Amino acid sequence: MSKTPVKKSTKKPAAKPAVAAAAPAPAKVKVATMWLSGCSGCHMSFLDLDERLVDLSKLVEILFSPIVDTKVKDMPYVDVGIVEGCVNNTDQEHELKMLRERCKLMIALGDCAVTGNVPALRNQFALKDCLIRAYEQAESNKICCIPNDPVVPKLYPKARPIGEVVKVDVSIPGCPPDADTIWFALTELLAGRMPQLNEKNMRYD
Amino acid sequence: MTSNTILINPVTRIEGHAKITIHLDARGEVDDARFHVVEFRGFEKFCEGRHFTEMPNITPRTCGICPVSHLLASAKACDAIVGREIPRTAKMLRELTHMGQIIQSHALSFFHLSAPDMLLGWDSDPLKRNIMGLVEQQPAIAVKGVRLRKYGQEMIKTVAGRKIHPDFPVPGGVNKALTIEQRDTMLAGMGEAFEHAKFALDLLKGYHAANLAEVEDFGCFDSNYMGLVQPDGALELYDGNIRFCNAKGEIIHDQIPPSKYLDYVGEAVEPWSYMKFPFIARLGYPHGMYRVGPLARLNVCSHISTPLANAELKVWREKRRVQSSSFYYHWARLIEVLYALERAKQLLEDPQITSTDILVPNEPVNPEGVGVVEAPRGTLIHHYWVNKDGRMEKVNLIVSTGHNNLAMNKGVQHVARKYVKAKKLKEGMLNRVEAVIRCYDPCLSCATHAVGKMPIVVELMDADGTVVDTLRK
Amino acid sequence: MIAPKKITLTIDGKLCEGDAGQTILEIARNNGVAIPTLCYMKHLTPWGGCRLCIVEIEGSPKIVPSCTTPAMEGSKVNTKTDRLVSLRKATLELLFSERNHFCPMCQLNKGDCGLQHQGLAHGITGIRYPYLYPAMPIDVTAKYFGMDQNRCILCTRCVRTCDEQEGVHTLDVAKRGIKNQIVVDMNGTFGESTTCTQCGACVANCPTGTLFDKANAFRGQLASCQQVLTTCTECSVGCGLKVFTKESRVVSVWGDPDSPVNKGHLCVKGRYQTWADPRERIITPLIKGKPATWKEALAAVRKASDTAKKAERALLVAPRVTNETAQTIAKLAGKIGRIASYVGSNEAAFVAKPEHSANAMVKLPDADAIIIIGGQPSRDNGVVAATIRTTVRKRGAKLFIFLAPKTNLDQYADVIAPTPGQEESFWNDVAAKLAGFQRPAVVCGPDVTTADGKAVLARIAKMLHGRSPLMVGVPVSANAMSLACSGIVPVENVGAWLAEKPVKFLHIVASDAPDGGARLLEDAAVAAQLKKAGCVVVQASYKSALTDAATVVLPAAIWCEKTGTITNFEGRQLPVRPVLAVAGEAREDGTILESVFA
Repeated sequence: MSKTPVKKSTKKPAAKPAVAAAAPAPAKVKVATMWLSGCSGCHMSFLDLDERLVDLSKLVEILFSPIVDTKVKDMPYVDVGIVEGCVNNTDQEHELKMLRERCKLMIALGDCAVTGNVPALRNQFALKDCLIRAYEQAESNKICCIPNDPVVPKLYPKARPIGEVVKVDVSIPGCPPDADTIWFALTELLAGRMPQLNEKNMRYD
Repeated sequence: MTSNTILINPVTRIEGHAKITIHLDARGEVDDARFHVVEFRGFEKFCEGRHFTEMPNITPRTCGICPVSHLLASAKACDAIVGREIPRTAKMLRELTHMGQIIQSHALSFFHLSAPDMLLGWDSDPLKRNIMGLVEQQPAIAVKGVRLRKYGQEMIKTVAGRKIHPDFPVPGGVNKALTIEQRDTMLAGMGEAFEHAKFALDLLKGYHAANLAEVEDFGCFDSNYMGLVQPDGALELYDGNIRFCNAKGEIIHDQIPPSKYLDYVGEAVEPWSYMKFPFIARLGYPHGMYRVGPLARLNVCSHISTPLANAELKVWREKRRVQSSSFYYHWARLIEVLYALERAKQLLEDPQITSTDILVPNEPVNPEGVGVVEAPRGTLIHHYWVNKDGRMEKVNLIVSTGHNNLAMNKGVQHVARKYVKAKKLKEGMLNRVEAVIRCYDPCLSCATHAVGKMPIVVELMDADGTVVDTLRK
Repeated sequence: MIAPKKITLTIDGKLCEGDAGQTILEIARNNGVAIPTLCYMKHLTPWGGCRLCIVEIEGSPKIVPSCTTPAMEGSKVNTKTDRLVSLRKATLELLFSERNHFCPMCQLNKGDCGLQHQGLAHGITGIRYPYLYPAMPIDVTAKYFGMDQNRCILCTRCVRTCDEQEGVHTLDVAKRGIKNQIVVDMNGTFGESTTCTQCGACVANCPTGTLFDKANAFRGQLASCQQVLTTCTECSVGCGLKVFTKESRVVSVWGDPDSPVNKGHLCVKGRYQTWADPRERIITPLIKGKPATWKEALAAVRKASDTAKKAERALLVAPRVTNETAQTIAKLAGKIGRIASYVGSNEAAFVAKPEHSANAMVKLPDADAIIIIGGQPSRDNGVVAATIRTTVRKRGAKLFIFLAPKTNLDQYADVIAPTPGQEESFWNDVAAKLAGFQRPAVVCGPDVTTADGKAVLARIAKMLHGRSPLMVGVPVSANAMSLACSGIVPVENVGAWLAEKPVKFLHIVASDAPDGGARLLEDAAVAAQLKKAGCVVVQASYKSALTDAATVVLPAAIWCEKTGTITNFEGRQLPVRPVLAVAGEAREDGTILESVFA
């Protein structure tokens, strides 16, 4: 890692301040986000906070997320875990459980995480049929097989909303939820309150 | 000596779920590298049985970054089933939404996902090497990026009703007309957007000039290219015919109507990735590899129909007619932002843009329909088959990033060979291998009709599977 | 009838007045107290199945559904206790868990769905029960609508609608317990159904996206549309319409619940054929098929009209034009030439002397015997057929059908006689069957004017002598009687009428007939006459074989662009209101006729 060089000041050292040093700034809330089987729209809606992201960056630090490039030794212990998408395969179940263990409060963000939504449409079909359609029958296929290398995770017979895999503390439905709703929920939580959602600030689509 | 496999799991700052494995030979040199996409959702099956009018609402849930692309390709496939020409205003409004999307998606790709490497340094503190870090360390630049993306998103919201997953295009047209006030508001914000776009271009060109050796040979390899063009060969993003050209820029197939894509494109499946491998049918697999997206589109087109972007295209082509280094994707992306702004302005200044003549009936007449658009990341193909009641019988999707699958694999091999020399792993090496993927700005949600992300783990294993070295994110 | 006794009760601390016999829900709503519901619908028999309207009555431990519980004088009712709210939430969560309620791809998303509304209003962000994800069928075989069972909450509004409003009972609930499912007939599809009339009332009454319209899918949410009340001009019943519009298009058509004629019900013609069929609209004048200006077109028309003598000019009018258009024609009659309205088979005599059946639609449900003579309401006047069916099936009336071909009303009839003869034994039997009914109604169609029809009517009238039967005459054509009143002679055999005198200038007002007037050409004699006529002007809204054969086409306004009135078969003068601006260069019928003939 590069270090910023320390510049030696040529000025006289300043006089000691008359007032006591200000209290240290409150510790930022530690946040981790992940997206499972979804479309990333909820994270994009989060990014639609636009300039409010700057305000948010003063209150929270995102230690782990698809949109940042954090490399910490293990998945960090955080205060809040925000999860988008539903559980479709073995890798995702593992990640989700890992995050649940390492966060104090878990938020299910978006319809896929809360209800299953579009990825759960495949629950009405046999998994085998979905794979055969995509990898054998599709009209543009010329060389076919069903992917089964160990590097690709196994799919479960049904996609499941995260609440059926781990305990969820806050659910924010929407496909995606509006940036304003995400802002409301986060600021309420930061103020120590559970966010109250209803027809004024919530949607199911 | 034993052969070794390096696993990068997952790739970060891309849209989607992926792993990279790098296979070393006996001497510790890179033998092969693979880009594995690890998610699958099954859109091509679970749409069966639904009424075809729902397709423009289901398919955008493939991807939250470029839902508009799916909306439009889907609506066009449905239009083909309806068998009617949609009103001119509807076409213009759809294209306007598309321009908004190009602006926001390319801004996201450049500022939020890739610029941190360029502006903060490839080897800079990984904890800060992201959009939040950019906001902290280079706020003036970060804000420009945020505002440029915002302009694009606001354009989508104004025209289509919502930023992400608007329900706007329908079979037969669009369901919302544009008011005069809305048109004027968008025109008013254009000046600032143009400034940010030009700023980004200058920034990028400055980086190119300062890092010439690196950018000229980053994921650089010959390939064919695919993109939509207008009848005169100009760049086209919403409507148009398909053109393929080779590594020298010579045209292989030209002005192919989108409905004929099956005659030209085939797909292969590998057991180690959920993402399929499209190839030019006539050239076979894997020789028929081709690239799509901004780099490909600028290679394939003869010119750009708007003046500012066309001037930048000429600068882009100064060194050579066809660019093959993956790094040129970033530059091409920003030229497209300029085109999108200019094109949006043309559309907004057309007096018919506020007409309410935006729909024709949606009765299904034809048993199948194909809709093709140039999504930010490349050519997007939706192909539907219906019965006489409008019930979806079959779906085939070839999604933008999918076309780049072979190329991304090649890119990873190229960069891995250049930077992975020793058995000892360095963090910066990891980042560079991922960075070549970022050039393609992949949308793996789209490509596998799936999404996901995990922390990166790099493990160096010997032939017995014993972990020799570990680097974790 | 004795006026019901007034009662008073307290609901949520508010003193509310109502009639004895009313339910708690009815009185609450009439007094501005909101109670959530899903399965309740005014005009339908309350079912009490969704359990959202539950209330607590002080002094009773029970929780009751307010939609089926009669209000008691002096009782104290609470509708929003913590217990009730908690139970409602649990109910909604169970509903969400049971099937696949995914809003993003639903046609009723964004404001038109009752389940979505209740979920949001109750602050439901997630559910405590596991999702079942059953594989449910989707039936899109009906022409105008689809049924997606993934979204169904089994409120049975569609079943009750089909049974109590359209009267065919195509829909019902099959299987048991969690496997309960709405079925079409014996678990068939809409496309195969021989009972479904495609009236679409079930779609309008479905609170979720289970039943959705195809032609307006995702084209506008009704919740955010403008609404205009007008009248249907497809037949002589004149049902009240509530038209939903957005920007410059019709999004949907529902019945006007306050219309005494149809009370919110519609048939397939009014609900769908008015807007959902794709037709090619003509919006500029055409001269020999090529677009022209009004100036050019009128010049050509007047030139041709002026060169013909008055006796050589003929005006044929579709009976669907408004009263005002008819009056304009009457006013211009002196300058035109021969004038006639072209009506259906046997209608000429039927409508020539307009005899309105005042308040028939209000009185018909009270009949205890309905005798149809020479008419096919199920084909021609859907809402009359619905009224007959529901009166027979729900109110115990008996049905007798004479001189009508096989229709779907036959299955409810005690006597069906498509070709009644003169055998006395037969008629004695009929008289015996008709004896005892105190409130008979005779519903006549145009075939009653034939010799056979007159004979049957005479016999029936004799049998019902002294019992003041409700006499109802229902023409097929809309507004034909009004035109007759204005002196426009109704004609059945148009070919013969045209051939009476040589025609050099023929002006046909097809108006907004959905077929663009093509029906006229089915008569070979008419087609031949058209060829003989020097100049054929067709005033129409839609392209057809007739407009293709015309010398000049003048674009006419359609039903939702017209201003005026029609008179229905009951004699009510009903408003035809402009719901949308006239499209393109089209003009109102009367305006066009004045430009041509004044």
